[in-house]
Amino acid sequence: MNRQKDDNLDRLLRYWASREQPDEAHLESLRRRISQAADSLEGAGTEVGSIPDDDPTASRRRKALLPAAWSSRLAWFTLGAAAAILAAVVLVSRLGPDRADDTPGEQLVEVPPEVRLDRQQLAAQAKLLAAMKEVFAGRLTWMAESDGKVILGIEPETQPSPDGSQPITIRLVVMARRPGEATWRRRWSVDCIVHNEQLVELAPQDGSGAQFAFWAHLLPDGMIAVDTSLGLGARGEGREPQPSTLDTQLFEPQVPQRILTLKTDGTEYQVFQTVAVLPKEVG
Amino acid sequence: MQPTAAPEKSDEGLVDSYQRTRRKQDLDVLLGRYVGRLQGMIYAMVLNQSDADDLTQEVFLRAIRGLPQFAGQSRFSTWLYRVAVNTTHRFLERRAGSPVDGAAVPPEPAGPGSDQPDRKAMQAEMNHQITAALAELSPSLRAAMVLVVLEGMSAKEAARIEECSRATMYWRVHRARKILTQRLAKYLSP
Repeated sequence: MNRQKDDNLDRLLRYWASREQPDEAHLESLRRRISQAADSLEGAGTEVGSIPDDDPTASRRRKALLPAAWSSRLAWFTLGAAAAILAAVVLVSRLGPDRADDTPGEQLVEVPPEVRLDRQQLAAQAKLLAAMKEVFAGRLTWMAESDGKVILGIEPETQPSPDGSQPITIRLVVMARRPGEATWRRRWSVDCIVHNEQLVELAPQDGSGAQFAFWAHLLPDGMIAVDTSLGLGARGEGREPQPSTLDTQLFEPQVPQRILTLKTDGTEYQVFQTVAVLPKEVG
Repeated sequence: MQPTAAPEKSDEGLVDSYQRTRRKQDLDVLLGRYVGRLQGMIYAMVLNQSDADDLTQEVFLRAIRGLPQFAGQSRFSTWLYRVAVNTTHRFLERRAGSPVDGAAVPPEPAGPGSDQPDRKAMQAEMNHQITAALAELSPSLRAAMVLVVLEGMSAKEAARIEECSRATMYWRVHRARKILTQRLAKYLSP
């Protein structure tokens, strides 16, 4: 079904491209124009600044073309640039990679152990999913587990089977630090089991005020692309959380990533995510 | 005995010949081979014919200047497309924020003398909608669609040109298809 849609779209775009293509006379005129412009190029191939940077050997070749005086200046410049890069590397390593005005740059917590998804956990999730599927007989579309509570996505009627790919589990852990606190604490976490290309929106009624949405897509080489949207920071304040929609992130299965750092109302947040495909025998 | 035509030189053969002899004819053959393809590819990215012509010229001049140093580490076509894509991305960065001309101009109604005015008007409207839908994509998504779908490249080759991973290229194509499918649903028959 999707393949058919893709084929139709591709055909439509190719048709559009053929319709938009200029006629032969236009192309011939363009060809002549470029040929004439090329004639006026003087000393093509010896002009240092003109070498496209696409060639990996370009910088080496550029240097070979330089006169001796320039080589000497280049050497001093290179030394200066190297010193500047070294200073920048030292500075960046001290500040951390997420340093920004509106992000908690200092003392970022390392990836917490609970973000990781090991094989036993995945097998347990797969078993739980299989059991729930049996109970709800084709009406279960997704499942989430947060701090021991299970949230189920159940449709009123039996749903068609998804595309045959294995369910994907997304673990999201929010670490937070309130103003004046020295240590980071786990604020909220959720494991969400979804099917390929299924949008799941979660707003757990646990007083956290958190809102989440996930959309995952399995890539042919085993990587998993995930869109995440989340709202944080409304706990007990009578306000709607500010949603942060993240651009698509690519995940290697079972490799945790810090996907967001932010500061809102004085509280700092770090959000971690791990994604994996559930084992085949149970999915 | 019939005279046999000399075999056509490959791109790499022409480049090699140009590197040794600086013969203008070699450039002209390469220009003839690629001018239409590059203009079409660049047009699909910038969605304006005049800009596409100017950029095509800029790409060829940049390529000609760099040709003596072309090391043959990749195919000539890959190298040329990479110059084209980089040049086009830089242009799009400069143009960021400006409306895309092609998408902003509504289609012209068919003239009174037209034999099939309704059909032509519908076709013009469809072309306009497709242009507008492409204009809504980010440059990287648009480039992915152009390279993989319109130019027929493999994800691996397109990724090499765009200097991203193959997985990223798959994802960009998937994402772009999803957006375009929604936007152009009425033209996609089941």
